[in-house]
Amino acid sequence: MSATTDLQPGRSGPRLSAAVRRGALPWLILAVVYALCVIASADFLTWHTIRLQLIQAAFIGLVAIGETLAILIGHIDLSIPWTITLTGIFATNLYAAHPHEWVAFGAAIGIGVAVGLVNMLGVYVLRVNSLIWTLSINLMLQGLTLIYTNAAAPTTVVPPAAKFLALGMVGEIPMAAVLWAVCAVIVIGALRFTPFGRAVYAIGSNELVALVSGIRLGRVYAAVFITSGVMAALVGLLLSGYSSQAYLGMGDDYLLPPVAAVVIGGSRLAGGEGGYGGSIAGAMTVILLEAMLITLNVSQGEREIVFGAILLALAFLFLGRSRR
Amino acid sequence: MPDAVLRAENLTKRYGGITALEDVSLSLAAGEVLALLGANGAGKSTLVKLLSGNILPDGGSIAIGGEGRHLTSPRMAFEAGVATVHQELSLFGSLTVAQNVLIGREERGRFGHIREDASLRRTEALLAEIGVPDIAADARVGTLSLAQRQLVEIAKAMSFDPRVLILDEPTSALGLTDVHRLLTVVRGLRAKGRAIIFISHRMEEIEDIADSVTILRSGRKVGAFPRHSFTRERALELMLGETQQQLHAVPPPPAPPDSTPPILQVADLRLDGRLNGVSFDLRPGEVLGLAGLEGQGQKDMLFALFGLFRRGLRGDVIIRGQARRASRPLQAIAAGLAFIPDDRKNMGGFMFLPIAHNVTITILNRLRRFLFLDSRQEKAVVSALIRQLAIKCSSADAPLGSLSGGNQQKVIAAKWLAFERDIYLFCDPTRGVDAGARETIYATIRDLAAAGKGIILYSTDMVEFPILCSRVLVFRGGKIAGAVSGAEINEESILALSFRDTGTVAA
Amino acid sequence: MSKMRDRLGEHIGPLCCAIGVIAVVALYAAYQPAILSAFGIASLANASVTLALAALGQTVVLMTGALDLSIGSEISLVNCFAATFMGDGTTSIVLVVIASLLIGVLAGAINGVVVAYGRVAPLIATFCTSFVYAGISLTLRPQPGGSIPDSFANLLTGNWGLLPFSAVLLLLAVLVIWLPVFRSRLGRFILAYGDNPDSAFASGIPVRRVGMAAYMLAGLFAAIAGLFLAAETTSGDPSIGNVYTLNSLAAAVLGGVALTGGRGSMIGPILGAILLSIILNVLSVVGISAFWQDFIEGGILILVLGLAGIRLLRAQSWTSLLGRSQS
Repeated sequence: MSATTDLQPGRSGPRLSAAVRRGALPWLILAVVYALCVIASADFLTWHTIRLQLIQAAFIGLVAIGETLAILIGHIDLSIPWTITLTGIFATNLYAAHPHEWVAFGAAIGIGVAVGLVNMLGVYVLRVNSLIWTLSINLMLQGLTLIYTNAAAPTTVVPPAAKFLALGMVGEIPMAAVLWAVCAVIVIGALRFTPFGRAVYAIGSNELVALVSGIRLGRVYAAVFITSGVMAALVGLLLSGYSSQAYLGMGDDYLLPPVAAVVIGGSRLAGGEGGYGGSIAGAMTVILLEAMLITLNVSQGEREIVFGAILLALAFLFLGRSRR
Repeated sequence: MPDAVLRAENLTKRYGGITALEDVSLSLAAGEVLALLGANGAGKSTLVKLLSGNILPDGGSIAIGGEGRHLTSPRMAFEAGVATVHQELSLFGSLTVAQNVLIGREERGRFGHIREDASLRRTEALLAEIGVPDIAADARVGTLSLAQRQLVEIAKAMSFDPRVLILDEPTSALGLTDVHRLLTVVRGLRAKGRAIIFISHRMEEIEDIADSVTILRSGRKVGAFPRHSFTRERALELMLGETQQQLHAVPPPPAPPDSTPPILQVADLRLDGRLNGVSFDLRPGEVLGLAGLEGQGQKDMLFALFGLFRRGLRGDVIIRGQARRASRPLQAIAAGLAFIPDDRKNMGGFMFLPIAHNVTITILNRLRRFLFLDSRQEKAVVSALIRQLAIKCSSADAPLGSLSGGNQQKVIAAKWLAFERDIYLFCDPTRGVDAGARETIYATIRDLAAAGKGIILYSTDMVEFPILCSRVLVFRGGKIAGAVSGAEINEESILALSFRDTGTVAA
Repeated sequence: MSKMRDRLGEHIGPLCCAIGVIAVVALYAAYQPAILSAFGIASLANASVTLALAALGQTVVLMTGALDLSIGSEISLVNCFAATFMGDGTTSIVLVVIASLLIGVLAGAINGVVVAYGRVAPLIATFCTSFVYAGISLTLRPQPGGSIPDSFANLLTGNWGLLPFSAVLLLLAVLVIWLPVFRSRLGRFILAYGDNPDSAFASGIPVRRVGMAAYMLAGLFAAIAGLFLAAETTSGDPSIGNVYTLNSLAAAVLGGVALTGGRGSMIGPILGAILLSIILNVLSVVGISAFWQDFIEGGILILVLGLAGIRLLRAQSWTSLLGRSQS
């Protein structure tokens, strides 16, 4: 009969209730994880500890902006770790030589835009699978960073603005959290209330339909990957400010956690469903989980197992099922 | 009938809220060819999928050789003795004929390795047995013609030595010579005592081969007769039902006067092998039908106009006097074209997104105030279109996928009504659509024509041409085989043009 | 005529790789004639075999139209396991080898269950499991170390005149695993499933078990690669396999394996792996600093993937271009 039936059995149609549940679920998960943290250590009740976690969560949350967009259009960006490191090292070195804030931030934005464009080139123009392409770009950026640091050792001279954004306080609230909140409002607004947002969901739902509906795919892809690149570059600068130096491997912890944050936040890995609101809860969850595991003296290896397994479980439960 | 090989009783299948098949029973004896007739969406394919183990029934039972069976997978159906040749061919292009025919049942040696030469010989024997020894068993299936693949598919089904063979529209894409050849093969199988379910839209084939005929309409069995009491008129009447009959009463929109300058001119359009020099004009207010057997280039024609072919298109497309041949949909949209596809799931709409977002996807820039979408205006546009097209939905925020096929199609049409274009390309818009939605789509087409739009309608349902079109181009082999207009538009004249040339093979 | 072009198109990948290998080796030999000695050949072979094995594993999965991003982690896992538990005695060696192979198959089986039965998209599933396997390696062996008995190391890395044992290992893997599989129904099913999954289901092929078998085979090849790496480095390193995930993909694509499934050979990926390994090897010998290695490796990957993408871009219609993208 109708063309909407499939040959293979065992598929479910769209579920409304699932979408509703997903709105609240990330925050529920966050509450549970926070409760577990408090059980593990009463320190998690103090504002001091919470503040520290909030700063960490802000870093993850900021890169998760790009990751959320990438995942919403049905792709992924795994070039974040070495975009962070390259930017951190390159921009601070440049700042050491030319001590103007705009030099450092300009360089960071430049790197972010360049990485975004290269990602867009591979994923949109050449139609290489984004996971593979961005992972390869990550490797290339790693090489680029190594080549660069071979000629110039990382510096401890960091732009004060980066330091302020990472460590400063507005009253009792960390500056990083304020920055995160501002960016979050912009992203959520853009996704919900602008043509760009509609186009993002359209492409993630069905790229061919988006094409025949007159959506300019290339522009949306470029906007998404450039945003992701720029956010990663910005976090690279912030992280240098946070540790008062840039160093090799500073972005290594940003491969899986941003993806985990987005997925825990309820966005479908296949694209088209979700949003940034959940990713905020996701970023906090990821950071708290990590902090809890460290408190419990869980080794790095075991932490990786836990994260991989959680992501897998979420993908299995409802988020990353293949559509085919 | 004590000797029924296959007996299905009270089969029912529902998809969501839609009942695809209700209470259908049939029985089939050895050496009998049962023809299954019905319009598009009558439930034939659902019945086939049930009998071949691709889907499970919501009610009813299937017995094969007198034994009740629960067919949970295609494999189970094979083992029970039911082999099916599906409409969408199930062959592997990169494997050879022999590898395809014997997939899973290859001749094996002592170590479990496949004995290629023995498999090849067995396939050759099978091909000879069904009467097609000229297909090479070691040819790659990807290199064969559609007709040859159809025969390979039958050989594959026969390799199971089935008691029941189901052929789901095996002739729909074949030229006359190939149809005759296939029917000869089917006759041979009947003589060997196989029970065969034969599905076709073509009456003459059914008269030629069937021992009994069962007719479905809207998921129900509406008639069954032995061959001697079968007449085309009666069958057509049962297939079409009352709603369809009434449609004939409505005259098509009038043809625009000859003096009107054309809005679209197509000259010698070619696309390697699929379009072989197509030329025609379209005037504002005209509904131009594209007819012919499936796969003769009608769909390619619409795809080409809408910029869905990135390369390889030759010839001229002139819109309002300007050359506007498109290689991207955006160019086509900018030139004033709108496209309503038949494949709703893959090309038509965003199934997971709200209805409202589906409708306004084409007018996002128009709805933008400064940076943001004007949600009040959006709501107004959407609810006006929902009312105009009588779209049945709980709210405009419900996901498109939650609607019935007909309402989905209305939403897809609505997005091009929201963004008004000059030329509307309808690609089989009523495929799998219920009667009510059909009426709405027909009315929409009429309204568009009355508003002076140019409309091209490709349909696989021939009853639509006489009631909607003032002119119909019949395609065959990527060319226009002929045109009929006005009162001459009817199924007979279209079929005559579709079939006049014998021996062409669709590729 | 079209048949000939069809056949040529199928062999163009391996052919180019073979020409590439010869060209690079010739250049290499001109620069450093010692490479054509027994020792030189053995070292080139040793450098290529791990990647060749990984590429074979990747190819099996690619042929089903899926992907395995956990191959590198599986290699690391087996490598760490062997270096941690292998003792000097023959019994210990044999037991650990068997256990290592089983671990590889088990890891593959987990991938298979998640993808074929859990219906999680292959890329995501294996991306997640790669972290689980990497985590296990890291827990097993937080720092590189451990030991491998000399007897085992020599058995795999030595040479017999001009014939390196590593090449024999690869040949054995092909003869004992690859050929039997692809001469049997399983191999036919893998190709058929990759060619057209819906047809495979409709043809009664047990598609889930086939998908699962492909990942198990990939795990088995990864395990052999991990064991060989253990013998070559005589130690375990939890990150030693990382590079093989993407490089195995590059080698397979270079060797003409389609990312869309249904096609692939054994010779193509092996040649692709040899070509890739020798190029990387040459770079260090020619005196390009190690700092350039990652950059060039990434560059080659992007080039290969980009070329594969361009091949896809020849699609005539937008429907086939956008319909074909994975993930």
